[in-house]
Amino acid sequence: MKLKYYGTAAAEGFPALFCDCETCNRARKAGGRNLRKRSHACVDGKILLDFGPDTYSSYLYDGLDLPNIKNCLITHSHEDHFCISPIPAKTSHYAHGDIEPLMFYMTKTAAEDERYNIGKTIRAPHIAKENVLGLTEIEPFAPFDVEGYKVTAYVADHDKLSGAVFYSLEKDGKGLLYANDTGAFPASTWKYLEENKPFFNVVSLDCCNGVLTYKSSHMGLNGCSEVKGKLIEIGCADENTVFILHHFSHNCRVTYDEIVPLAKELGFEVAFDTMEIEF
Amino acid sequence: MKIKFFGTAAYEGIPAVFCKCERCMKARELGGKDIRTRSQSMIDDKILIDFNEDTLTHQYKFGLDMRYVNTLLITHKHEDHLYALDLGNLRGGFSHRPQDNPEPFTIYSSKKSLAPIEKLLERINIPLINMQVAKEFEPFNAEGYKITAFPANHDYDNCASLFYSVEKDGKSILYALDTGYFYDSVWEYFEKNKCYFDLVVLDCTCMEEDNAINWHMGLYANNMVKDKMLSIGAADEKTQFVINHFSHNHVPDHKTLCEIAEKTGFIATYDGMEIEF
Repeated sequence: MKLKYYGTAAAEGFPALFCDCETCNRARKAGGRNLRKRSHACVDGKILLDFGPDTYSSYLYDGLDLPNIKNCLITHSHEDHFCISPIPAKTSHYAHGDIEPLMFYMTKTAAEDERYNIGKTIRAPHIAKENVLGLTEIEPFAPFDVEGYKVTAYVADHDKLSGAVFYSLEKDGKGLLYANDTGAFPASTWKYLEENKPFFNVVSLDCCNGVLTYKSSHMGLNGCSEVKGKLIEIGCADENTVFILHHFSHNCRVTYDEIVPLAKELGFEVAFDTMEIEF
Repeated sequence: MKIKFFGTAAYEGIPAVFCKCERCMKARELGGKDIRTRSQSMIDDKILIDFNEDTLTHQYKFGLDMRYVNTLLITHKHEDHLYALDLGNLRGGFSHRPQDNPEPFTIYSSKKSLAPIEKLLERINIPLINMQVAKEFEPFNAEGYKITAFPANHDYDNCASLFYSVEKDGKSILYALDTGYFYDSVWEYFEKNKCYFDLVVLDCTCMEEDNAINWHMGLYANNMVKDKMLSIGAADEKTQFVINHFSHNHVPDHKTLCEIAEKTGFIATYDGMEIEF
């Protein structure tokens, strides 16, 4: 299995668009891996994880094969994880050739979140009639199949109105846990993990807060360490599991270059845009 | 005066976001100037025109620096010109404006096209945002620039779409996308007020498609606009005419486009292009 990160920042991007904070300015100056687009990733070049506003940019500049993606798992409704504006571009006036349908998976709450109108947009009659887009409502703790991957959604500790979940993908004896936009996991998620004991070779964790210690809604290094310890303790991970930090906010006080040594000490890799890991 | 074109494509970009047409696949292969993000431009690093979700990409790819930008002109509310949700990043905690820039972030458009921002502000408090309705044919001052809004021949009933002229220190630019051939009221205003432009940016979505004169333009309508401007003195032989806002449905590769443009007396844009005049 191969995970490729295309965007590794929180909602504002990193450096944030309008921001003059010291962290953003250090990131601007350093460039390279310190510049982060909004969060999205892809498994085996097939399953897209989130569809944020920079997904198109990843197609243009970073090799994401967007026209050929058939399935996309959406964690929640927030605008940095689902961008509505390109949706009509899947229809026949804008997309030509051998166009295969693109299916989005998300919770009912995410689809119906009135702030973002994701469900209404995808299901609008003029779009729906072309059969090029779909929306499958999924439920936490009820595994489903996507292109041969066993996908499980877990309840996230994040804005309840956004219908937030995070996902695991399993195939051919390999497992990935991709957990962004969540605080230290909620009790229901731990219960499912303890009971079902899926094993993860790679665990990607939300480290929005960096060196700050808040661990609800998002995590920082301490929240990620706590989750890592517990995953190992209950047997969902072991000493060979690679733990990766992801989804950084400029408010986390540290750029890529600055968090790498801190993360290393705690046994974490740090994601950057276009980082690939094969396992 | 200086204009920088950050994004030069129509709504779906080039290569279009989900398209597998020959033109898109060629653009993908060629890269460079054949890659076009959604429409956005900046005048003198101060006056930003349009704000879509590629704005952050423009920061990374072409050095767009929004820290000291305080004026945004929105042509209309179609999603390739306004992604209101990204303006949410102006709220406290999501960005920290420079201490030596205490100015509000002022956004001008028609009342109808400001609606998505109004909707955002109903939900999120963003004290930095100052919305101003740009009234057609009533010049206003923004940061020392004289700006005039004109009604655009483009989904007008729904968006009250506008295009703009921007003037300062004896230099002037007309930035006219998305629009078809100009309404009579615009021509009357140009004639009555003896408007003159050093640089004219025209919507060329339809390229060589025959007789496209409403909603968007192609070279046919671009030539009509150019001829009329020359005939009424709104432009002369020194005026630079620029074509912009391209669609994969009509535009050839950038090299061919430049050859066509040169033959017809136009300059073709690409992402990251700058013209100083």
